[in-house]
Amino acid sequence: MNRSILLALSVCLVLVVSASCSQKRSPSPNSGMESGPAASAQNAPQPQSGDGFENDSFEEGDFDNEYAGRTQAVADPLESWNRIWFEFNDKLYFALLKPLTQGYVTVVPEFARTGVKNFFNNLKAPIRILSNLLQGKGKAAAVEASRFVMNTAFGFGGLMNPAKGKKTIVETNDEDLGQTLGAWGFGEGFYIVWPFLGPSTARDTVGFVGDSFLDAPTYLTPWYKSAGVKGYRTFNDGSFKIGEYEAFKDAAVEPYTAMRNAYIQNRRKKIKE
Amino acid sequence: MQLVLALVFACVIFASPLLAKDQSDAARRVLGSVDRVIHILKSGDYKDPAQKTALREELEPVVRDIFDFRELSMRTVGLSWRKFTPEQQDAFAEAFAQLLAETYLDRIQSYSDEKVVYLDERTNKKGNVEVQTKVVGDGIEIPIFYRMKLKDDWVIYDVIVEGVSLVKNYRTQFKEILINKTPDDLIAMVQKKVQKKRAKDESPSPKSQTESNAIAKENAS
Repeated sequence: MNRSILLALSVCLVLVVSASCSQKRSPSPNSGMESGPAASAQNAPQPQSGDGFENDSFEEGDFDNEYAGRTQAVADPLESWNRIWFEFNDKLYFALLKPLTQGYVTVVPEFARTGVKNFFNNLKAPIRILSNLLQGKGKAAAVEASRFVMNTAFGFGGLMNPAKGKKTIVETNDEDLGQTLGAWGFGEGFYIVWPFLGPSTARDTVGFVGDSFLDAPTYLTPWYKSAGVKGYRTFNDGSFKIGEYEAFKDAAVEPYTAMRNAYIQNRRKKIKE
Repeated sequence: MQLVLALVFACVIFASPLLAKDQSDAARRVLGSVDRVIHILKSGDYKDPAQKTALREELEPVVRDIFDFRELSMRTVGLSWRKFTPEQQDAFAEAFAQLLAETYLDRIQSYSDEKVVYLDERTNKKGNVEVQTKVVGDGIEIPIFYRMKLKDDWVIYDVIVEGVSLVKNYRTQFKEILINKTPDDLIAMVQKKVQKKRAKDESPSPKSQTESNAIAKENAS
């Protein structure tokens, strides 16, 4: 049952991706966003300064180039559709998630929430191990594997996180298949906002679907149990970030654009790591 | 025994430059400012809405001293900055300064229980410095990098939180707004945002997010 849903989702994705590829050829009118030549120009190798720094500048491009208006932006052909789901998620947060989380935080003490977080995080180790392997990060994969074994064996199935702070197996960067695809050179495709799940791109959505095959709760049956467990996991993780979304919205002049840009910047940084 | 001592000695000699990397003036300045802000926040009762405005007045000079808001404004508006009249530039810089100060203080306030750790720093070709810090608390760890430039003193011209540059983020927003709107419209939008934020701060809502978060923390410990 569950697998058939995933399969259907993957098929939809392939369709969406191929549709967008054909769309991408025609420049969208409102885009101050150059994908393609400008973006690749930004990625052109920088002259090495040879003074010990990997890069003579802080960024892929020199800051002044960037200041001259050459920003790397993501294509957003589905903008009006995305905005609908952005609004939907926004309303969902304030009407439902926020009050629920506030109640949850008052009732459930922090150590219990941390335990839940650790448990699920540990369960996601296969995703990180495989992603690290696929990116040729053997050491990081080994670290993830050691942490997984240690936390599962000695930490009551990951509740305790005894591997925390162990020097030889310090936490590595969170890897996932979306980042792996990025590291392999796949572009973002285009930006997409999913209901409930929030911002993503075509590439990261493919990664997300791939990740779910390695994600233990996916195999719970019936499907609503699986969805429930995953929903609870996200909800519990969110309880540590209460207030962040409000702060983000308070600061943004144009929240939709701000969110899109923040998501893309954050993902690009993670892919580079 | 002597060998052991010699080894220990060698270790100390070789390890010390790694252990204690000298902080630059820029790093010292930004860390000093963060300390001062946290100190002020801890000294007052920020949860009391009546005091909130007073505290903001105390904090603003600290923030304005280290952030170069004109530089920030220029970089966020980008090329269109030249289309702004000098008056518009001033008005925009002021409004944007207020918005950023509000946001920054809000963030710092919610972090005040956590620790700010200096990680590293690097200098680019132009001599600008990126001071890398990390906010560490229970269950969270947020890398915050400050990019600084030497004017009369070291000033911040960009803040990068979890890889997201503030300047770049606002630039995409302002760029989009300026496609259809005039500089005056943009200034008005930023001003409105500040007013909304302040109105929210001053209306004593029974449970603001940061408060309930803090309460939960107290209960947990």
